[in-house]
Amino acid sequence: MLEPVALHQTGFKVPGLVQDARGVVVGTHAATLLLGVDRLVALLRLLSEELQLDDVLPSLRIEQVRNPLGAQAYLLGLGSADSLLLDRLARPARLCGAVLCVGAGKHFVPYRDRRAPLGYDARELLADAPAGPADYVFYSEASAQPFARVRELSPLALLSQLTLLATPGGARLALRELLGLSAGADGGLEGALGADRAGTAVGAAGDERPLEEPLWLTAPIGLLGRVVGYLWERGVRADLAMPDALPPPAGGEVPPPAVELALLRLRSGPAGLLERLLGVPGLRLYQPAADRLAVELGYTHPLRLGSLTSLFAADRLHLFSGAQRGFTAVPIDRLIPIERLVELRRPGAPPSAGRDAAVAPAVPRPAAVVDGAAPPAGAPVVLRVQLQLMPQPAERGRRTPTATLVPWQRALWLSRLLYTLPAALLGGLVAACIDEGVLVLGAQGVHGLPLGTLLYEPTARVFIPLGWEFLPRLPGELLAAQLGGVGDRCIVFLPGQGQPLALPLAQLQPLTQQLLAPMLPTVRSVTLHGEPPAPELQNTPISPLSTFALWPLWGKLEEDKP
Amino acid sequence: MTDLEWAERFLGRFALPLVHGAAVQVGAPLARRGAERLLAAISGGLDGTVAAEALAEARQRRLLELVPVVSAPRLFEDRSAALLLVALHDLLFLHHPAAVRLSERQAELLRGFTRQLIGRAAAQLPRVATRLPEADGEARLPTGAAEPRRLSLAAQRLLGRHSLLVGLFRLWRADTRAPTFWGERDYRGVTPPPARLRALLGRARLALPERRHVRLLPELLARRDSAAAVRELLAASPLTALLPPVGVGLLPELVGQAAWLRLPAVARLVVARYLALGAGPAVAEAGEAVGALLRQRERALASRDLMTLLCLVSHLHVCVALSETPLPAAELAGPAADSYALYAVVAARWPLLCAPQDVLCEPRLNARLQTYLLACRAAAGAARLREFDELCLDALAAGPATGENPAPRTHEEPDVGTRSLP
Repeated sequence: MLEPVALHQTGFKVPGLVQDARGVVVGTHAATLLLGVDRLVALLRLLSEELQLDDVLPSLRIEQVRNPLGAQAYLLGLGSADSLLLDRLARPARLCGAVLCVGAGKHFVPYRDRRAPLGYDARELLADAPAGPADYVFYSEASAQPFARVRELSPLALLSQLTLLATPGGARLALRELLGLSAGADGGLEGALGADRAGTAVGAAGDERPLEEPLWLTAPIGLLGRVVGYLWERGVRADLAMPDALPPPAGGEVPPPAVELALLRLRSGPAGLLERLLGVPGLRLYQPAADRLAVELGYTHPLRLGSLTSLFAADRLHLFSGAQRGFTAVPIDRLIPIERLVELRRPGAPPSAGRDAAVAPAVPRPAAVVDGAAPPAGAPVVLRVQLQLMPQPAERGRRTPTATLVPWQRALWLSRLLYTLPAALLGGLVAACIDEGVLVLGAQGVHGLPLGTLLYEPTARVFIPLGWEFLPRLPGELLAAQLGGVGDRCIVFLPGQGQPLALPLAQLQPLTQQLLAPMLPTVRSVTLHGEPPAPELQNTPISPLSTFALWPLWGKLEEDKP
Repeated sequence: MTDLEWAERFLGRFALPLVHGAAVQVGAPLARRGAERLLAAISGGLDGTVAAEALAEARQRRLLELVPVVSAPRLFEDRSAALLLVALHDLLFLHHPAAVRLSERQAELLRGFTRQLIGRAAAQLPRVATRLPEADGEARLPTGAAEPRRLSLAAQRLLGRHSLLVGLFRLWRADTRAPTFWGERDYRGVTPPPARLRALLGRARLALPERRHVRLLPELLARRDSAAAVRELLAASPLTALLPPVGVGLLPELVGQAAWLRLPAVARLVVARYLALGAGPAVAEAGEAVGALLRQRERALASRDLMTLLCLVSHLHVCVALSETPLPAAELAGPAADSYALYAVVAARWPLLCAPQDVLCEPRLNARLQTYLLACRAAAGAARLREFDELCLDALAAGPATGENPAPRTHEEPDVGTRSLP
């Protein structure tokens, strides 16, 4: 039924077929026939990875069709006459056992393949059956099959029938990956859990971290008060999406959801606490998959939702849960911080809830804590001791130097040394010019620079000279806190100077940028992607002494010159 | 030095960089001696040399951007195309700084010889492939022009020449203005002497040369003498004239090259070049160009070529009509309205020219086309429709100034007869 198309073919049997600029046969529409809904979903999964489905959604249509024998199939069609796009569509279609066809109206022939690099045309058109005209006719090598449309299936209806896929490792592993905790951090996570069970506050400075993207938490309405109180007491920054119980202004009736759910947006929180929330029945954590779309932790959606955002309403968050098909839309136009929702209590008063009153624990007496301005009663007059920089014994002094301060007298040596440094080392060095000299920092160490005063980091971004240490020996966080917080600067202690230097990180620039003279490139024309560069005309100098050289009747040709 | 070695060096410094995109070296003019040596080298097996192999590969790479399957073009397949290279070299030499040392007479001789070479190459174009059937009696028999093999060879030759000359559109030159002892001096496409030499006694030892990026084609077209030669050069490679790359600010030159649109491969590439502008601008640009031709008092084109151009405009409109583009608004103004009026008149007078037969036979596509046509009539307005109807009748039905007949009936297009406007 098919015949390959020649390069300069001018007429086609199938209406609407044309050859594009490359000579490939295209129509105004492309369609593929899939034998089951599983293959349809598989093809959509591949397509959502291959291209941005939002671009083709306006013309994308899914229809259930039936042939004269009663066999049903799904037709996935879209409007495209671009052979480059069709090439990209044909590959996943072939992977799903289907054939991409092109045409216009109702007749479709297979798109180009290895046997026909430019495409196919039908030998003859199938006449309509007397019982009734077909809606679509698909031509193949052996036959031409008419199909009648049964119903149209919108992409949103298809999405509401899909279930999520469980990811290996479940929600806990997904949470760890989300927080950037490696497998080696299990101990830290469990440690945080253990500390909480022992009664210590969870979410100490080292455990809590702001989330790159907020997590969403759903809880039954009955648990909302307790969940909000719990989160607030642990210092979690969260907002509650205010549910809108009023009917829309148009007067339409909103069907009540099966379970009343409250939606919370978590902006930061300790890792251990988030993991503990996963174990509470009724609570579910959702991870953002795209704008206004979130998927339950531990699951993944079969389709790449980021390419389908235009299907969903703009003012709602769509939650895809692993326990049910489809999705739930929740309005998120009003978010209220949970500090506004915590139940207020008078200090010393018993909790108001009757259920809690029976098991209320004994309230500890608050200790009187004084600030540093005045010593408490009974304390000696001098309470605070000074942090001192002391030389340390040689056996404890084997630290990796990560910075060096090169005095200005040695700056010329440093600039000469740049010529010998390997590129890998040179690329990792940053520097700042200060009054004392050139401060060079290297995250991987400054072994290649045997110049100046070598410095090491007892804690992040605090530098002290090699061979010295702080007394008393404080752990890193406390040392940073003692120095007033490191923040976005680095603090450098120099021997002989009582007060350390604070240098904003923004002033650090690559060492090469500090010491090398700039070399400006020659301006060239910008070439488009995939095109060769524009040729440049260069006039060969011609000797001014030889007038005859210009005239080939007497002079030598250019190539004849030695 | 043998001719083969000479030609290989010429390809290496001029032709290959022009196609591949590198530094094109222009030296002393080649003129007759160079052309003869190049032709002798081609006869002596130039295509087997390393430079010619590289050139063929680069030409094939350029052509693969246009067509999916093409073999590497060789020089011996179209010997006259090599003459275009010599002509282009000498044309570029006339803009060389040393060209001022030629006398007026010498420059005129060189320019004349360049145009002679171009004319010799243009005479070798396969114009027979664009020929239409002559008379009613023999018109129904297949003619030599419509043979697929002949069409394929013609397209291949056009593509081959295009691959050699397409670099002309992007050719540029770095001009340097540098301070010297005698004041500011321009170095056009030449590296200025070292700063130390320039500033022996100079006041501007530290002044940096100022480099400018100059595109060659506008400069060539700005001078009247070289503009004529460049236009003839493009006419000798019709595909190059019809396919200026997107981004150089030039549109297909339809006036001299309309006949070549009868080759399907050429027509497809030109339609794609127009559609690269976007559906609306493509229709407007093509309609404006053809409308301007119709309004000319002196007839530059034969009727059959004008009919071919009307087919091109119609094809663009069909592409717009069958796509999802919104319909034109009523009572438009400007070139877009001219284009809509032209298409509405063509559809009314010569219905088989306005759309392919398969589109007209398919009810759904035909219905969409008719809706688009109604929108075109509304967008053009009654006055503009009448104007274009008269212009088309004057240009086509009244008979051309060149003495050729209007577009004849062919077996494939049984009815292109004029109908009365409803």
